[in-house]
Amino acid sequence: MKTKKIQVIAEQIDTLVTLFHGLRSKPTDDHLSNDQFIRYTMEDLSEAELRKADEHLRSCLECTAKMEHLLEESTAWSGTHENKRLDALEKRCVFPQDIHEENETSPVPPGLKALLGGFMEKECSYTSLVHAVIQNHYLAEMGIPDEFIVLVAQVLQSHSDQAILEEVTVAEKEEQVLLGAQLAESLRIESPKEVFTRFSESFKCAKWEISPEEAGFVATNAECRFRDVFRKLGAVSPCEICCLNLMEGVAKAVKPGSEFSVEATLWRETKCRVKVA
Amino acid sequence: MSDSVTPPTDVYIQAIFDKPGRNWSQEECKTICGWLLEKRKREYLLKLVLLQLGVEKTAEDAEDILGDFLATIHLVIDSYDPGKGRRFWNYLIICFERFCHRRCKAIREKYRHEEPLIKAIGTEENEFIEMEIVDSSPNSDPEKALAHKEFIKALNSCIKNMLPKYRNVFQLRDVDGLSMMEIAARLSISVPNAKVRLFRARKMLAKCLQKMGWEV
Repeated sequence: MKTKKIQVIAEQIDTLVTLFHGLRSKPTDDHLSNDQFIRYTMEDLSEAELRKADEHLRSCLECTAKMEHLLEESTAWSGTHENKRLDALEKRCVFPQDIHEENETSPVPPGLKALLGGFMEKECSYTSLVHAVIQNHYLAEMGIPDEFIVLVAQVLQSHSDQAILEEVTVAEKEEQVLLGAQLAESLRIESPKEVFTRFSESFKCAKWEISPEEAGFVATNAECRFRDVFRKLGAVSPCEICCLNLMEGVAKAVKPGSEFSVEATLWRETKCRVKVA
Repeated sequence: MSDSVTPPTDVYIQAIFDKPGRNWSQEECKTICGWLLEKRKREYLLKLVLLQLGVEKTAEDAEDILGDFLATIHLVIDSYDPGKGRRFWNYLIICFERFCHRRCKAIREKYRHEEPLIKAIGTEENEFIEMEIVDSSPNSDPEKALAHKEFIKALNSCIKNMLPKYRNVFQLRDVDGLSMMEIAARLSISVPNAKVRLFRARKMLAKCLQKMGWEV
């Protein structure tokens, strides 16, 4: 590597010494707010606001690190690629034609329709769909509508026809394990038992019953709306991707190290039976 | 979120926001998505996600999250109640912060065990700088001259360990005396970026000098 020599005179050194002496060792004021960070990068602050932000940044390594990251990453949205990115984003929020029509009597609210559109287009996972369902107050009261289950069945069947169901199930399982804690928090689940009871209450798709066992408990279920709809449509089994993997992710999030064994499913037997220890 | 965030000015959108009740139509939701995709607002939201993501994650992750938010906007809007007296833009930002907090947490978790992404340093000149003293006044105090020499030696050694992007901006500003605008133009970066790099460079050097026993 080259070395460039720069000549400095005594006055310059004095200035540098004064400069370093003048630096504060601790940050002045509170850290910048998100709004200040963003408006600083957008050069949107008033003169007084800018002076105040600069004053803080001069003394705060933490905020300058965040600010620098923001400034450098945001260049990804400038220049020639910006319009392409904007187009791509717009496409993502334009809803597919088949669910676009407004239907006053439809039990599926428009927000969920939009998400289902994303799911059908393979732009959003089943797991994120479920997360969105949980956030929706309407669904919290009404449970999952049949129309939702029908669309999920169609998508999973299409995955099966394209021989990608296995791959999708594995990817979903990874996401379900990853987001287990988040789901537990949203549904206020604190123990593996509550996974079954809260799922029954919230989604109104099954009625799980719990029987204590020596080293844990067994959960059984004899009715499932997913099973009924999927069977009627001649679709593939929904057990793993739509229910069991999701519950396993949450159970292991609330009690790490717990064992979750599926002994039977309603798809093949007369009852679902899951042993948790 | 601060109240200083500019509320929407478009009359049509404002009418949507202030409408009581929860019956948001598909058209209205699309209008809001369109509004959020306007350059300035989109930039604001994307940057908000980037802040939530933390320092190793990229703009692409942020873009994905904004895309998902636009897709789920109906769900968010359903719970908006103007009766609670909150401006819609502020309300939306709060929802978005919550939404991206959840998504960002999952992304951070996913990448937890991976090495941080190596960032491109840019196209700056990749060379060391070394300062040498030119004795401009022959009658100067020998003690002071020695102190200067020691200081420059320590400073050179600290500068050597800095990334070029910080080294360059420090040299251009604090040694060559260029203005921030000139530095930004020369390095093809924005003025805020040049300033932030300078602040960081100074703090890093001060810390390094302190480690070497200099009182700064």
